[in-house]
Formats: sequence, structure tokens, C-alpha cells
Amino acid sequence: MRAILLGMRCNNACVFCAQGDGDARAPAEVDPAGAIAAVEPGESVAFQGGEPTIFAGLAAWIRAADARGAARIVVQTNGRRLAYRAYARALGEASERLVLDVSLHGSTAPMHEYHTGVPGSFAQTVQGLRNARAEGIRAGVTTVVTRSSFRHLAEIVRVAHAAGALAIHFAPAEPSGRAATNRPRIVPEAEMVLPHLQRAVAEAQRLGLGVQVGDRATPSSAGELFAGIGAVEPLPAGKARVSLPVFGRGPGDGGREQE
Amino acid sequence: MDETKTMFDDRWAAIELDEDLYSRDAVYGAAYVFLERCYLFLERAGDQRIRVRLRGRAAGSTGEDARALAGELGNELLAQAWRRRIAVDRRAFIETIAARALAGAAGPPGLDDLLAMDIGDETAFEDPLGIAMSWEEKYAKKKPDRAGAEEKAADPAPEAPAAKPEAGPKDEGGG
Repeated sequence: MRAILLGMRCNNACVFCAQGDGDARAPAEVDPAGAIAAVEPGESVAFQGGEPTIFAGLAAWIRAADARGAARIVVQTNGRRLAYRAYARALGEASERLVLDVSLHGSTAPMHEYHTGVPGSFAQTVQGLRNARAEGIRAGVTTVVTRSSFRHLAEIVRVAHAAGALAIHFAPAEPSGRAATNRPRIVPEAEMVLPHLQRAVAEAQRLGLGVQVGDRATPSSAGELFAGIGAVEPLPAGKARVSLPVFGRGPGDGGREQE
Repeated sequence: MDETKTMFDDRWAAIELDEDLYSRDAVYGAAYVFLERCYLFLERAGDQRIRVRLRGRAAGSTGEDARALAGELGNELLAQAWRRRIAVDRRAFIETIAARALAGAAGPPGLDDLLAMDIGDETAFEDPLGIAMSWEEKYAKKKPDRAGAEEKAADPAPEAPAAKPEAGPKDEGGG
């Protein structure tokens, strides 16, 4: 996966954002032309921010990556701008190989918007997913598991499914960036998350959704919808990455490594 | 025939007006301004002529008071007639300003409004909800620099930022 990093400007201000506040004021003038020119035919590409859709050139960049022969073009996004149906159509027309990795952090507006810091963002993201489906763009949902969401993961699965997502990715809140600053109220203990995560995985499988937990996906093709964590602030000294062991212990299929 | 005629009788004053000179709406408007201070009666004085009779409301008001009030009424009639002409001449401009003010007060269209719209491909990159603005541009407090500190007093108050929530709706913790 070739990551094309667009800086950290974002229209959300997530409480757990691993990117922190450092580069949030980076200049808007981002030119990934060089990175796109380096794309090899058959390669997978991920546009990652910040939030890629705040850049006016995104559709053109997707088109350029498609012209380079990229096999898969993932845009990691909160999906809010796709609430404009015409914008979703414009992205879909840029490449048939486009897939969206859409962040959804709650099953209700208060839960999601507590995490994003933006009133109205839940309705926009859900509408963005619906519009993506209507325009034939494949989309997965990434949910960062926090102390405010871990008891509601199965409900988030149902919202994602209803909105048209094909798979869901549960990512642990990493203790870096803003989550490091507010770790006690952001990062849950893994053993408390596990039963809820197992229930959510079972619900996803009942609904026919692919599931990825951490870096493991089932079926393995579900992982093709997700871009990974992207650029983050370094972990503080002595802090390890959080893992969410569920496959092999829960109702999953035993887990397969993402290809 | 005089177009405007003023008569005085004891504590009363009467002004006869030609409707070609002062429209009926201008007469109503001017009379309204004096309701607190006068008793006013509008009468038909002839074809295209209106008579306004008035007397001061205050106890002990005199003919001199009525004369002064009649003078003020004449001035107000002129002001009302002129304002009315301005309103007619600039109707389109005034309506445009009013429409913009109302639209501004209503704020940008919400998601429901957008869903009801038929947005075509030519508007694919428009952003009426301001979704594509970074969080900092849209909500963060502006930090005044030192050089601009003196100008701060002259600047309008910055837009109130969206409060960054400090506790989750179901921040149940794990302990």
C-alpha cells in the first residue's frame, strides 16, 4: 500500500486523534503530484490526511492515480463531504477502483459528535455513506474504539450496515496525539472491550459485513477497504501500541492475516 | 384654490390637503406620529381633498398649542410623503437587502434542505454547508498576535467557537 499523505488539516477534531494538534495548521497548498507520479501499475494507493476531501484537487488526484494504473485507490475520509450527492458522484466517476475508508465513531449523533467535535457530522457521514453506495463506490467503516464507544460497537455495526458499508474496521485508540493527552478518558482497557468487540464481530458476520480488528481481517478481502492508521505522532516513551485480540478467541473464523 | 389651507378655531386647528400633493398613506402616517399628543380627525373636505382637525390632548391646551402642532404636522406630512417616494423608487433595492438579511439570519441550508435540492453535476464542488473547511478555520478561537493587540478593541467580537466537549455522552469509563 502506497500512502499519499496530504497533511493533517481536517474538518473534524477527534478527541482521540493520533495525529495530535501539531500540523493542524499546515498550509492548504498540498501537491501530491510527485507521489502520484511514483505510483506503479497494479499498486494499491491510499490518500490519507487529515481529511482528503477538504482539498479541491482530490477528484483530479484520484483520476491521476487511476491513470497510473493503480489497482486500488483508498481514500481515508470521514465521508462528510459526500453528503453532497454530486460530490460523491464526482469522486466515483474519477475511478472505478476507488474505495472509501469512512470513519464512524458512534451509533448515534451525540456519541459520534462527542468524538468528532463537530455538530451535525453524524448525519453528514451517514448520508455520505449512503451516497457512496448509491454511486457505486465501495466503502468500509473504521471505528476507533474508545471508552465512550466500546459498549456500543454492535450498534455501530448495525448503523454501518444500514448505511451501505461492506465491512467494518475496529481500531484501538492509540495512546498518541490527543489520545495521549487525555488517555484516562479515551483509551479503554482491552479486557473490558473484548466481550463487546466479540458481540460486534458476531453481529457484523450475521449481517454479512467483513470485519477487521487491528490489522487482521476476515474475510481477508475486507482489509482491501481500509487504509491503515496513516501518519501519527510518535508514541510517548514506554507506551506500546494497543492491540485488540479477538480473532481466535471470539466467534470469528479464527482470523487470517490481512493480505 | 389653495392646495393646502390651515384654519384655526379656539383650541382647534384644521389643515386641508390636496391628495395629489400628499397621498392618503402619507396623511395616515403623519397622523399616527401625533396620536400621543393630539386628538385628530380626518374628514373628506371635497373631491381629492382631506381635512385634518387636531387639538392638543393635554389639559389646558390652547389655540397656540394647536397652531404649533399644526406646524409640526405639516413638517411630518412632508417627511412622510418624501419617505414614501423613496420607498417606491427603491423598492427593488430594499427588497433585495431585506431578503439577504432574512437569508443570513436563517443560516446556511441544513442537510435536510440539501437532500431536498436537485444538485446537479455543475455544483459538485460547491460547499454550502462549509463541510470542506478545516475545523480550525470554522471553530477554533482566533489568537490575537501582539501587533494586532491594539486593533483588537476596534475589531468586532470573534465568532463564538463550537465548544469542544470535555466529557462524552456515555463516558462510562472502565474502572
